[in-house]
Amino acid sequence: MAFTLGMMPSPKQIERGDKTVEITKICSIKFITFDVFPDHIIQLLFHYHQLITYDEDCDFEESIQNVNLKVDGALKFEISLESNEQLYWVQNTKEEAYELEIDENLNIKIQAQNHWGLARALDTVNQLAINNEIENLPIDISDEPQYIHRGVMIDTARNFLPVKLIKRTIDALVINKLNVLHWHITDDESFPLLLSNYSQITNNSKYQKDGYFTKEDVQDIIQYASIRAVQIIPEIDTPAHVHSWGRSSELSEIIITCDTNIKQYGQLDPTLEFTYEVLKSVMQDLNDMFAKVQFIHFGGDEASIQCFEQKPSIKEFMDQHGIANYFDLQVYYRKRQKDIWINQIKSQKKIIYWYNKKDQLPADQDDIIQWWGLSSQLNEVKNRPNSFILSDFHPLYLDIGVGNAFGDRYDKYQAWKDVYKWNPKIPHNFQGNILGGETLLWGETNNQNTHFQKLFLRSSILSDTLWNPEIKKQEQFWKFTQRLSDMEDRMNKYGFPVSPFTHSYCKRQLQQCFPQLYSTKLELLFMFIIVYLI
Amino acid sequence: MPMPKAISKGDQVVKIENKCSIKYQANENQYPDFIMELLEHFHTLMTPKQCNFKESFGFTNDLGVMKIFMHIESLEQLYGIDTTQQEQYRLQIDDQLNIQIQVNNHWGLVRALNTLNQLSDKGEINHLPLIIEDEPTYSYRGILIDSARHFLSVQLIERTVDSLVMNSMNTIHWHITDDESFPLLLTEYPEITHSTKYSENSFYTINDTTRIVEYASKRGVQIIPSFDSPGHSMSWGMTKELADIMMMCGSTIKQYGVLDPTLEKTYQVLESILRDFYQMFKKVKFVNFAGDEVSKTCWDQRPEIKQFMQENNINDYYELQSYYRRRQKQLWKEVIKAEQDIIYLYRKEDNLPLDKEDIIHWWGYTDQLPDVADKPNRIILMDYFPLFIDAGFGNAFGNPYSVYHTWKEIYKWTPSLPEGSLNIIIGGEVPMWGETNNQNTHFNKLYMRTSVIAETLWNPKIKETEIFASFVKRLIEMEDRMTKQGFAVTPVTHGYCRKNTELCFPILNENEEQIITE
Repeated sequence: MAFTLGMMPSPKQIERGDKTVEITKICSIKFITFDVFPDHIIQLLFHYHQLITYDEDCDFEESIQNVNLKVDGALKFEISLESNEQLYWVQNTKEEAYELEIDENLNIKIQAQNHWGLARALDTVNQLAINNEIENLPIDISDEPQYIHRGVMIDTARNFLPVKLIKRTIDALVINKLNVLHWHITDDESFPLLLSNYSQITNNSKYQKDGYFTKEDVQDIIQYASIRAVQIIPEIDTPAHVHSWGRSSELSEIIITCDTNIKQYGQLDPTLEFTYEVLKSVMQDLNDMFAKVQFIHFGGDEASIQCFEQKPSIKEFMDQHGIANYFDLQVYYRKRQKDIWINQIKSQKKIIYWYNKKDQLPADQDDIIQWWGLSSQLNEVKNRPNSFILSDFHPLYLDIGVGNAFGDRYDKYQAWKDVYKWNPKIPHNFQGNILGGETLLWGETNNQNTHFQKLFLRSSILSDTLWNPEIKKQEQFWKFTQRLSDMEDRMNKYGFPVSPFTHSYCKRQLQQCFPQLYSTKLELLFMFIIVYLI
Repeated sequence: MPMPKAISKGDQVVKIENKCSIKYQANENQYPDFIMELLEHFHTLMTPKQCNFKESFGFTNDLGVMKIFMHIESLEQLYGIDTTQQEQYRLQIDDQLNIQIQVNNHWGLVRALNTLNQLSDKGEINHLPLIIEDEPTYSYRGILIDSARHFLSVQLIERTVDSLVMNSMNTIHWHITDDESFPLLLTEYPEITHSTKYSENSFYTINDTTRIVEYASKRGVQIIPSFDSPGHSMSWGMTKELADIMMMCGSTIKQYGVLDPTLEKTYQVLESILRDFYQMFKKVKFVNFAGDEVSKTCWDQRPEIKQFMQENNINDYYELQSYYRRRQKQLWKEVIKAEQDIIYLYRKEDNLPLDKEDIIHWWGYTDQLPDVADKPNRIILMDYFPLFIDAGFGNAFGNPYSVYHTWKEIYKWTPSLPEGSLNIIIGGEVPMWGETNNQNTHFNKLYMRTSVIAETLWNPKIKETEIFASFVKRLIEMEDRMTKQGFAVTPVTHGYCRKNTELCFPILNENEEQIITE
């Protein structure tokens, strides 16, 4: 039997007693430390103070005064961290590990390496204390995520998302112990990042007067995320998905507007020196604006051969330079891009690229591959000894199934149960290393009105899987739905308009409505066949 | 949106200078309360917060102020309508912003004011002088909301009415009860309500229903209350005293209940519920008794039913269902003496006999409409494809459920009947079934698709003449209007195509995206 204490994601190791203690003095909450809290930790504590004391109007200042006043019926945190350094990402799962002890007097001891582990521990306490009581005391939890990379992707190019919404998204990640916000900033449709040398790219493609992000916005978001133990991964996609780069007369030559029916797709001309001049400036801005991130995402997906074919001078260039085909041309572009990044800009940040069955350029060993193909096609990249982030098209695309930008049908909606059934599964002889996964919310039909409904609760389920994938093997399905239901209530309480996972009758009758994952034996048999085929 | 039927326009543009820009050319006491409330509703939509409604009455010649003269033939408050003439209006605006509105009653006034609001919401009015003569093609233009699967608060229902008003829609079909719960407080059998409600206060009292019916009526929207029987009625039998009138069926996962139509006690309970229903919804024009999806195998469970059928010459379950329906109707019309005509849900499988005044609510596929073609009844179209706007998000169990119907698919749909059909179309409806819908997703799922159906039901001909891109442009303007009024609607498209509608939407059928099926 699996003990989860009803938490989502479920902690790895739990020891528990049988006492229930009511939190009678919610405002007398205390945070105690032997050091002085640095500012970023105070802000993290303030964040959780607000969540824990949500229904009350409590004074945070009193909670961090370092006096040893122990009030009965109040939560008393004793926090010891090995390091007080502010981190913008973590390198291994140990850095998010934490030890948590709660005794019958509501003395809470938290031990962690740094503020990232602290954030996870505070979330656990908040989940345990959500109904103003804590059950199963004394509790001793020892916890650590299975995967280091647990994220969602948002897209600010198709519909602009304001800074405030991005911050709210971070808040939503934190209460799910998710730690990555992959920010697909630009695309064909717009380039809402204010550039220093080529501000016309931004201004020509923005949707409204102040529909773009400044350097201050970016730093604000990175700080906000770091304090809450979330890393930001910015993405600028090239050489395709760049129509927005070339909408001014000065820059129109560096892109080719692909000759498709309706959609305005653009591709960089990788044979022009001017292209690399602009690229360098954009990447320099990126490196400066995102100084404090670990990874940079350079996209690199969906470059179209037909589009390159539209411009005869490209073919000429290839002939002159011994570039055999358009695949090699893409490789050429990628090499030069990387050369600029590493040798000219001298950036230390590792690079992530999109990969699927069709997008398979050579990768250097330290490149990170984000997989957006089908799970069954992972075979295609199994010989690559790289680190992988999994965003399997089914079921991790949260945008699909509700029509595309043109009102036409676009694939199938991935139900929460589909996400639950997914596990980071690798083929035999897989040479790579799985860092984790991301759900993707592309923005063609998403804006602030639909954002949280599409992200959650499906991203909560991904979080559960990436934190503790083993739990599914032990836990009965209906108990999982109980945890999911509690998560839904929690998110509603904090004002996130998430999609309900079932109706209210089943919410009260989970055992009856969700007796097992596979409702028929036939379905189970079918799954076995699929697993066998993989 | 919807596009008016007849417009004659000039070429002048006049700015609305004054912020509190409406002056009703009337005395404050000239109109009954329900009209004053309607005027106040639009006053709130059309002017900034600081503008005082009371001060918008009186005579003025100010330029840059909309001076509204209203000619309303009847000052009777209506709770439902049955002809399209009742929503007719004539709107005339001259280049001094003198506005003449001519209507038969307050329902027409709502539509006229909505048109005026749309014309003026950018701070100016174009094409002056302007005369609009308008009337919907169908008198029934509605949505279905479902408060049985998730409880919907009174406030949310009122907000839903507000959203319909902006779209010149006129009907909420309120599917109140179902297997899962019965959130309508009954007088004799309150245990049905209390044993199935989802939280302490999540049920509707007679005060709530009266309030909702009034709120809607004042805004030109009719409420059509619905409780479903003899299927979809598990919630009736969750107490010991009433367990016998209901049979529980279904698989371990999906449980549903069907009434036992052979017990006199069933009709006792039914009569009492109908009585409550009548009292709670006295002023509505139609009621919907559904009657869909009655499981035949469910009745097999009880041998007594077979026995009863033999004794009463009922040959099969189809006739048993007809027997139930007859008795239900007898209670409604003869015992309770209710006047409201009854709407029943119909599709291929629920094809019971009908009386002449009954209304068919079609929820089958379009190509199955020949199944009811021989019935000379009024019909409301709710074709499963593409009008089911709840489909495509997975069902209550997290399993796949049908496909999502996009706004373009709804745009392509037009009310039509097979050749030779005797049905009379009175309108259409998009259903928002509630298994995976609550207040968080409500407006997301309803709009913009409901705006598209609103246009089709008001003015179906416009599609034949208007180019697709300009339709999309109007739809995007509607999206902005709704977002501005705080409705969390789903975007039509992304920001780039919003600004480039002609490029992105050149023709209706050109750009079918290839569906990835690998």
